[in-house]
Amino acid sequence: MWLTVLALAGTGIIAGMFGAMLGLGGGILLVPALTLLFGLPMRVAVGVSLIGVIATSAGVATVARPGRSADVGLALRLEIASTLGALLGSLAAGALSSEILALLFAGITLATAVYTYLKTRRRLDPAVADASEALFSIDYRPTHWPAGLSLMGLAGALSGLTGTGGGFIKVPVMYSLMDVPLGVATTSSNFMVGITAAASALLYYSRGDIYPLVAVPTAIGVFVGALAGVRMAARLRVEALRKMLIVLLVLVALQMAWKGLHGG
Amino acid sequence: MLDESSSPPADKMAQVSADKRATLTLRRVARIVAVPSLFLMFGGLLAYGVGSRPFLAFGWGGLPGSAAVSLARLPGGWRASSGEAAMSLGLLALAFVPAITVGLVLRDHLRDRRWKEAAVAASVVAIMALSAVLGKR
Repeated sequence: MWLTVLALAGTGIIAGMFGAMLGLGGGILLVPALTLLFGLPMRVAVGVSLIGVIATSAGVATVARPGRSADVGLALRLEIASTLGALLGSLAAGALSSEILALLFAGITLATAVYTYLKTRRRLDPAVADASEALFSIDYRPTHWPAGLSLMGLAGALSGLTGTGGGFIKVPVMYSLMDVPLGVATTSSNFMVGITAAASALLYYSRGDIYPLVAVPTAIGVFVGALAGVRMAARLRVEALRKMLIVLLVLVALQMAWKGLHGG
Repeated sequence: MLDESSSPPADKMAQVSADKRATLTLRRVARIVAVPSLFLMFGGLLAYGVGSRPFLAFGWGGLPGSAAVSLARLPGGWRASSGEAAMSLGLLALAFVPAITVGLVLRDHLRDRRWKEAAVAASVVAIMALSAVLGKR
């Protein structure tokens, strides 16, 4: 038993570290690890992953700094759509087969890989790098509310269905579509993924899809990993890790697609 | 209704001040609720796996873990039942961290008579409550 517990905690540490460093929540790594490495049913993996996303959000929150913080007003407005989507998504997840959930997850993982790749390119672009002082500007006005709210609803639904935080949709929607500064978008997303995941997690918890023996070591590992990730992000060059993550995500997407198509 | 117009600078500054307070709330809730819940879970895990006595849970799991392990002597053997009880309680506490945070933000908005922001926060809390209620059915 202890070997499995340690393995789960180790998986959680890695997921939490990447989740905090890249603003992804960590669920994108947890779900495939729990299904492919530990052989858990998809629905249970999603439930445990949602707890992991909350742990990542809480871990990041313990070291939150005023002045480089989330736009709480904006985040809560968008969360109305996102939590509603999460509620509907988690209700639908109870009726969908593991194969369909696996295929859906494969699509999301690929989308995350593309998003991470685009983010890497943007970071390497000197024109954007020079604009880093505007990351936490307060002089902005969010635009395109109807489209933003609709996409947040979609992000919430996917979160409830697949156990991810939906950060890979939330950050680009706020940044690219709604004209929110990148730093504000990332920190707001970190705040938002916890709320979205909690809305779904309560449903999964009530349904008995969250196994304490699996969720506890994973959550502890994720929390520790998130704390480490926040500290490491300030010191390390994240680009190399980001590239590694892209390769990992593509492999995971292919494996999940295989699982979905062949029921393995 | 959500408008697309910009807030005036004074409102923006008030919003920034509210955000600063919300960040401190977020940090406080994470430290006061999430961290002890993780200790509680850790204590429960030890109790479940090792069959540790309450003092071991106290040492490793903190006071809440010790209390839960001591009190929750449910049927089915105290090791499994008390450990599971502590882990479940910790998980539930962690799942409620975001709801508590939004609840406290709502309280601050109500105190400051920021009705529009309070209505938004109340809507989020209501949807989370609906999720918990639907899960029970």
